[in-house]
Amino acid sequence: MVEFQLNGATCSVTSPPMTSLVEVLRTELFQTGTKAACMEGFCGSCVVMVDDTPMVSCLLPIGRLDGCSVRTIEGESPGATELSPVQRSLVDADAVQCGMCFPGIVMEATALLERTTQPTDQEIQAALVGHICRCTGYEAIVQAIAASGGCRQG
Amino acid sequence: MTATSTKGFHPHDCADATMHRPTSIDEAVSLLGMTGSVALSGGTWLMRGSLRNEEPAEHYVALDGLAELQALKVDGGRVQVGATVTMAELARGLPSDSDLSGVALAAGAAASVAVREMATVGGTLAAMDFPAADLPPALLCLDAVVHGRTATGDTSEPLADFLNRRGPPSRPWLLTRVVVDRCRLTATHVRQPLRKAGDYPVAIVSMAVDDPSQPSDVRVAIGSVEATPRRWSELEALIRSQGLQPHDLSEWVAGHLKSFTPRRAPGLDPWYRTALVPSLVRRAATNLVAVRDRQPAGDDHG
Repeated sequence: MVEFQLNGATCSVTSPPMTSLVEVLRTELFQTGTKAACMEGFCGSCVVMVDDTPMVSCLLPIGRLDGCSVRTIEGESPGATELSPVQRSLVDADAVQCGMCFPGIVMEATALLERTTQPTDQEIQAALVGHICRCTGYEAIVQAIAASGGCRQG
Repeated sequence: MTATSTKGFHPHDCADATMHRPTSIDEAVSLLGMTGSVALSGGTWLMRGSLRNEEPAEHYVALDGLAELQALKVDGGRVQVGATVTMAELARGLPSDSDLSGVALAAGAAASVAVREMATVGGTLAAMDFPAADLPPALLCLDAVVHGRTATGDTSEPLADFLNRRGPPSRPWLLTRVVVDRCRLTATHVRQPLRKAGDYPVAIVSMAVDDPSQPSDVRVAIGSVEATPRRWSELEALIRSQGLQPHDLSEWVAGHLKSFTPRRAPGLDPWYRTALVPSLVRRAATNLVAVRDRQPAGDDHG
């Protein structure tokens, strides 16, 4: 059994230790906000935070997470109907289309803004390198993240 | 921690595997002596095993609890990188504008932010079937030495020998750290992916020289073009004799691509890999000249 913090609450899972975190989240814990698309670490739709560090949950065996703190998209909203600043900014910018890539992008952007105040467009683009969006063309996403964190020249 | 046999939807399901969590390097080596065991570092290569039609291992020896493997020590004479140091930690922990700048660029350019926070130095070097890794050519330019532990003691060998063998020196064996002796070099690292967004690089050039004005100590390594990254001694000799002339070097390289046997990969013809090398050499040389001239360098990696 593996025990870890999920969005602030202690949880225990019984999946085999080499099961990927994304599978555990979706099938054992029914937290389906984190998406499982490419399952090989390229698309970014499965990005969560582990100990406040963004990671691709499709390549992370659950057995390594004993005692860790995991944050997923479900934990980012402060309340049932509220949105986090990053989520609100993406909505306000009309940046979301199908939504498949956005849980991972929200987690990545949140991690970026927690590490870097007022990231430049280049820093935001660098952070989004591991995220594939088939719908939007990324421009509105970058602008929304920049607006969410403030902006500086660069 | 034992497993129960449950079937998951994950394509590389390892439901029947056992994960072991050793508390010492010697215990890890002992566990690696079991039949069907592999070392689990970052996991970013192993967890994609089924995509390579590999059978899952029976035993995974998790290394993340071994503090000795997590150390990154940088001083004026030597750099010691523990096997489980991540790409992100390496990129953040190395000084820029030094002999280590090529390694820092390589570590910071690999994959994506989230993967760099997981992928480790040891896992990258031990993944012999991964020819597109950024780190090996950058480390080859610094004559890195790979250290390991067996059941009977410690081992060490030049990275080039380790890569050419394409396997551990003995079994069981655990890669424990990579060591680089500091030197008076200026280094750079350039790469070209298919796109911008986290693709494997199609070709890589790492380059380091002592004096960009009059180079006498020259190291050039080519990665991702062939199955194993290597130094290019003929180009190194040319730079020693003729200096860092980016355009001239590029033209010379274009006429000497037959020395490579480019590898095949799905969706990418081999000729394209070698076709990129002249421009990458030009970019690398330009970067080093820019350091000499104290001008802002151009884009040095994809």
